[in-house]
Amino acid sequence: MSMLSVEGLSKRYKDHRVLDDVSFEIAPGEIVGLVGQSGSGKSTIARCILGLERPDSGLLQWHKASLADRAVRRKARRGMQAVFQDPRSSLNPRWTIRQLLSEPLDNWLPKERPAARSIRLRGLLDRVALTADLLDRHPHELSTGQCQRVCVARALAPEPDLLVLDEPLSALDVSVQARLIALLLDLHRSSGISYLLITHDFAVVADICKRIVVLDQGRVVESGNVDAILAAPSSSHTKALLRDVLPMPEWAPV
Amino acid sequence: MSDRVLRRFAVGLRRDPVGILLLAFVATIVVAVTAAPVVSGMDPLATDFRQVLLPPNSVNWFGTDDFGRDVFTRLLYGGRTSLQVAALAVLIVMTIGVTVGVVAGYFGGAVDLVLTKVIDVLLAFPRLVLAIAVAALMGGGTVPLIIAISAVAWPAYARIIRGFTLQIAQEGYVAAARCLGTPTWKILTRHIALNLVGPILVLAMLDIGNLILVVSALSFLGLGVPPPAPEWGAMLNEGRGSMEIAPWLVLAPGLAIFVVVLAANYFGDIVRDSVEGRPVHGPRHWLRLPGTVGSRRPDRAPAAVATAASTGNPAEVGAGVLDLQGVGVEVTDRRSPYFGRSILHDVSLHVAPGESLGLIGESGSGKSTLAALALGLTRPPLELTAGRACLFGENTAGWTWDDWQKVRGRMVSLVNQDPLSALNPVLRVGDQIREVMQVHLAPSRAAVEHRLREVLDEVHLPDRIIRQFPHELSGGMRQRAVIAMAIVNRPRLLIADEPTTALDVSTQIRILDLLRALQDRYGLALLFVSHDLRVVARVADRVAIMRDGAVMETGATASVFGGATHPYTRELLTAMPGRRLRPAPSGA
Repeated sequence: MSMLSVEGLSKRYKDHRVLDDVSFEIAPGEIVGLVGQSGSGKSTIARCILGLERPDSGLLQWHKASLADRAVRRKARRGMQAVFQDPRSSLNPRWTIRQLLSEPLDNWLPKERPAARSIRLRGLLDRVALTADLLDRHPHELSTGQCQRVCVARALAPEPDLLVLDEPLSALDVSVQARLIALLLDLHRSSGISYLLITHDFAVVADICKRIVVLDQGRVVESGNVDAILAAPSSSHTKALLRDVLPMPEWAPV
Repeated sequence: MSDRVLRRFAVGLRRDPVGILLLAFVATIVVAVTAAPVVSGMDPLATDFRQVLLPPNSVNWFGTDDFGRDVFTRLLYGGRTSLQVAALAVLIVMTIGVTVGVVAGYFGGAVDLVLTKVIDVLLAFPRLVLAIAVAALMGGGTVPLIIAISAVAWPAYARIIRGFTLQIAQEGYVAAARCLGTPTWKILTRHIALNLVGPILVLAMLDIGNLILVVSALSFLGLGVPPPAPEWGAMLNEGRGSMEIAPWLVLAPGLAIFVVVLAANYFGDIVRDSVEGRPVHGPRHWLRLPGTVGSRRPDRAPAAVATAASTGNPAEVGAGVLDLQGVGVEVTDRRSPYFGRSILHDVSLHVAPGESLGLIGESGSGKSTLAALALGLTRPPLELTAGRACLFGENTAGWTWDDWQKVRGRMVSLVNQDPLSALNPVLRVGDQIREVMQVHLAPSRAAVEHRLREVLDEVHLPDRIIRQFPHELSGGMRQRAVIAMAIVNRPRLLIADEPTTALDVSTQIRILDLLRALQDRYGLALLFVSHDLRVVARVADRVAIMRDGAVMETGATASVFGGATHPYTRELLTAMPGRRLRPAPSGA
């Protein structure tokens, strides 16, 4: 039973082939990692899935219905949400956190009463471990880590089934990364939400994902269970990527 | 936004007496013009041939014209028309310009193509000539005047607004809004148009003066308001015939136009400054560093540095390449909102020749301020308030900007986080590396070329990149080019500030190993700044852990982390991802 399935996705920009026959699936409640170097086309996949870009060919299905259909896309808009790499650019700098978090709610629950809305906003901030006193601040008054949490809260607002995380950690300090990873895993455990985590860092993927898809120059070179791939990578590209992960220093605790 | 803009606007105006004067003047004119019947009891159209061409007197303040009409009264009523027409035209022009610009910029594709072609065609005509043609075709009068002006003025706006829209449409929050299911019209109005308010306001203020001129010019040519109704441009035309015997007929409307246009332009500048709000740091602020004014000791500092450079003998310059003793940096500019905040306090660090020191800290820890200090780039609002910063055994407090210029890029160099911003996009990579050599060493042409190829080989870049531009290179190659620029003069200290954060893991490890290899080859001292423990562990012999502007711990990498006792150090350790990848896969 797949929630999202990607079949034979291809895309080219002028004479450059960005995606070449990419296929994979995400089941409900699953965490899938999409790993590749910069230029491997992983962000383009995310943009195609989210409807920000149109693939040249291939089939995207949401609960077995094609996303090329406008009605399906409209329904899926609510079911899949995204968190992007740069939290500062993802938040309109002129808006307060209250306005930012209200944007999806205005779209999906336009008739909600102010009192209920207020409780819901506090609940959202609470889920990402932020306090309600941030509601009337602007993004520039928050740290980058807090901004990324606001982005996560905003993405959770429509109560999606799938969160597409496009390099959500790259702009953050390592200890902030660790806290965000813990938060994402907590949310997953408590609500069973699925993630598609897009990253270039095998170390991060190994920590969170159950299943991974390895991408090289727009093609899937390997996919499967993360433990199996880490133990015995079959593709030479996966081996190279794993070799390039900075090794843990000897003095690091186990 | 608006609060901040208003505050800046108020501050900007308070510091500017000329601005206040012009503003008061224009306000007076607007009020007088609006209340024309109250200010002057006379009829602007009433002719009286007994009082033809009277010079200014107590009854007719600005004299009378060749029909005996009061010039002052006509000026008031004429201003009404001129200003109304200009204001209406600005409104129409803005509406059309913003709509077309936003639609073209946001939707792109065929819509954009058609609209930009129309704009291009219209812009190809001289604005005034086209306006004359349109007004003449429609036969003159107030309404055709407004239509003519609007028709020729909107394309310029549409093109600028389209540019702004293209920029804003690239922002992450527009993509995020689409993912959140926000309808397109809401994205266009709430995200894009709202962020355009600043530039629109500035454009409107800067152009209203221009439009007043066009209105006057068309009326002057007889294409605007038909006589006998007064209008400033038309009055100028009427007075032209008797200019020599009655100069007040031309002077009065001429001065009115002049003052209003001048004030509008001046006012537009103030509005722009308050909307864009970037304080301009003139050379005065950074040409002479804080604490160095008047303390210049010619040739002394650079002489010591130059000796060290030429002999390359570490013994001559003392033990340390970089020595910080109890350094404190504070925000000392009263105008800064962070006035009085301490950025670094009591920081002591020592980098020995040929040593690599890893500086670990997160954003806000002061690590980049420290890196800037080592390059002499501490500038307002920051200032060194305590301690000593020594480079190559010499206290840098006495160094002037010129002294620093001799050191930077020669003895100390920097590799930044973002290679794209470190390279000039319009110059070829080879020229940028050559420049670093020519500025400092003035070597022969052959020596420059030889060294250029040598250094490219050392950073593993092919010779072809000499003729390439930065945008033609990948992120990793750009960073290699920046490293080549940094080491080409064989500096003694290399500061690397998060050099691999913008790169993916596979590129990262290669850049780190390259830095390590270069450090060994050149005997470089390396100050390596990063938040990522894994990265620092790869290159550093010793580490210093910074937090909130202070050094928490220093020592050999393995001993600081092997027996980590400090809670913050432990937190950094447990934050490292990828623990389960250990042991490293075969071949590492």
